[in-house]
Amino acid sequence: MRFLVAISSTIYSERTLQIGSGIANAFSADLSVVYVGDPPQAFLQGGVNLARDAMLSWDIHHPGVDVLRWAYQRLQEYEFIDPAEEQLDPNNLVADAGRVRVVVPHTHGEKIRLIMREGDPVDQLKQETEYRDYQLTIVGGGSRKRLTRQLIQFIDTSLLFVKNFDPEGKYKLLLCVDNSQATRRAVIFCGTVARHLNTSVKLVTASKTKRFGDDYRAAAEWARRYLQRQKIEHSHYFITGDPATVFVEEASNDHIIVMGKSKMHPLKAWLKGTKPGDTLLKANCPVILVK
Amino acid sequence: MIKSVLYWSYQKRWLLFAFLLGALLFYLPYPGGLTPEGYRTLIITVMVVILIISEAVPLPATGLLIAVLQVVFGLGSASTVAQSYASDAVFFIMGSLMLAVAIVRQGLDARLTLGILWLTGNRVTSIMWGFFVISLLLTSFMGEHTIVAMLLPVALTLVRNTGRDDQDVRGLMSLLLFALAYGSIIGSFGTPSGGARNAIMIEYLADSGAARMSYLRWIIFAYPVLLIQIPLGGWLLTRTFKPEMVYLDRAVRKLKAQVGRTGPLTPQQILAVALFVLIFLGWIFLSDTIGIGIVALAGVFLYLATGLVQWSDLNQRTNWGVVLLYAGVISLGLQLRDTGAAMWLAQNVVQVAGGVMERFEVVRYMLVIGMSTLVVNIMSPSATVAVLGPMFINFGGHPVLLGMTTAIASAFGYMTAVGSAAGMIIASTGLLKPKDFLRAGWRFTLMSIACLLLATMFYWPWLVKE
Repeated sequence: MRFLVAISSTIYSERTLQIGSGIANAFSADLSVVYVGDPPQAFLQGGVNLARDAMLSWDIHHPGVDVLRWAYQRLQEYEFIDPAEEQLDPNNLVADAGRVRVVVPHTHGEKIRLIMREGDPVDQLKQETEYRDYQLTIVGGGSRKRLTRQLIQFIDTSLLFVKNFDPEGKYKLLLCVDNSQATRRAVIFCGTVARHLNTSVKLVTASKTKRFGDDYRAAAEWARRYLQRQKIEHSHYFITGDPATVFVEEASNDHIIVMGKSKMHPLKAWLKGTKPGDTLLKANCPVILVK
Repeated sequence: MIKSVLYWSYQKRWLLFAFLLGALLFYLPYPGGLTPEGYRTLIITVMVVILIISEAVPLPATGLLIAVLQVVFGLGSASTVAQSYASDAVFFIMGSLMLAVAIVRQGLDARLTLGILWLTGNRVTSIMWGFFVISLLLTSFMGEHTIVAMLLPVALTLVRNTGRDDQDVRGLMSLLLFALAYGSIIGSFGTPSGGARNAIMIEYLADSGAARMSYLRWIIFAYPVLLIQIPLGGWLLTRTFKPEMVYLDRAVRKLKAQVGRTGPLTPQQILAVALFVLIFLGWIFLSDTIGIGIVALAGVFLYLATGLVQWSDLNQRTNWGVVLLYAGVISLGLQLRDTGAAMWLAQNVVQVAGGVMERFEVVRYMLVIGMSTLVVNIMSPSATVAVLGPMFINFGGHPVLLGMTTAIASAFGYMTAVGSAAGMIIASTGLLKPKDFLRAGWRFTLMSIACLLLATMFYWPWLVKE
């Protein structure tokens, strides 16, 4: 498996990187860390390139290289990679497919990839996920409505939004179960994460009316049996109310919400928004949307 | 499929908007007093401004679109439009971009560093003054990106030599980086070679028959406006950013040791400086007869002929796409003038002002300065002059005064990173935030506007009377 973590600065990306490396560990996945920076205005790009060339001779690197170097050191601290491994050479860069890759010391060449991109975040992440086959994209934030909706709609992988993540907190998982096609994959994904984090799962099925259809009940039963087989501690609730509100209230800030990605028609999703999108925008905790 | 179309439409929304708006305007009846050609030129201008600001397509593509639309809209034949793409201003832009690469490649940054530190010593405020004044004076002859590219690594190395984390020396870092950037911005209007917009304005003034501005005459107009801002600007910087330390003993000592390892000036470096002096003399004495752009190209030829720079370096590092865009925008500016669209726009603005401009001359200049300053903070200095210049020259006052006011006010891109090459370069380090630009920028904007207004009201009228 291959996961992608998107970062933009050393100040705001620490938690994203921390949870990203933890989840990648759970799945024994390779991890690509992509820095997406603002590009210089095209009119003035020539001057910026000239300055960057001049700075290299003073051993001052592109800010993205510094951020990726910081990320590499952090991954060593989290023991995602061997702390004794040699440091990165910031001058060892390879340009390919409209991006720049920082070459990682030998033994981690496959487990870790460090990539630098500049441009619109959604566009750059879309290009990256189309260039290599990733199963999960991990991003920070989840509060900016337009950006969040675009990420959900256009990034064709599962998504983890690291929202209000407390590194010291003990998180449980809240699994949203309904009749959607993605629910089964969400259940399996949730089971793997729960085993790794050694935590319990709260299954929640929400309906706007008091009646829960057979398909909802069947999906919940399947999820319950799966977790039982995996020997994962779980509880299950049927709750009436607006699904997004119910999930957010039940999750509070001590759960990670796991739900399937919507399969709604793209145009309808674009105009109306989706249940996962609404949940994410309202949530006060990390949210995983499983494709 | 639908998802891909949706994604493309969203990413290209400004391109679609520009074309839809263009099509809508095309089928609307054109306003009275404006020729059909003038109206179509305005439509192209609106579309181009949208595309430049949004960067919905690569900028060189916008440069190409201008040529295509001019021919399709019947504003000129392919040959006429092609001719308007090549002018002395375009030659100057091309030459100055290549000269910047040639000069930066000479490794003169180490010499400059030693010079500045020899003048300033170890005191932070003195170093700030050194960066501010040296970048201001040098930029006025060499252009913003040349000087900022050379001095930025020096400033950053000095900050890093303090041994503290970047976040712990934000005041010091901001002080030095903004001294460099704002010094360069102010310096950029001092001479015609300080920025491409100056060359564009010289071309517009000459083509409109208003005046032939020689290199020296420009300096006589602009340099006092620049000099008066040295003490004011330095004072504003010290008021805005508070450095965390008073002296940089250790940092300066380390930097001197670092720079000292490069040894004495090499013959190549001496030749590079001598050639630049020659180019500068060419601008002063020959630009009036052969053109400022031709002198710049001759300079590039000399750097290549003497082997100080390789063509592969120039070819790789010169932004040819921007040259193409500038050529397109200048061509559009000439079209605005020739079709009477610029005059029509100017007359309408004057009419809306309802005679206030006639009674109070200062209002006319305040409007020109205000609009130029506003646009430059969202577009780019040269594009601002290229688009607004033809209109402002026809604003009813003395065309030379209005042209100079437009060119100089188009340098006042203090408040955003996109407002100037220097601002964009220091922002590209990732160490500054947009609010840092606002924090210092509004003060510098007010100072520069006040100095420029004083010049337009009291100094320049005296020059054009002579």
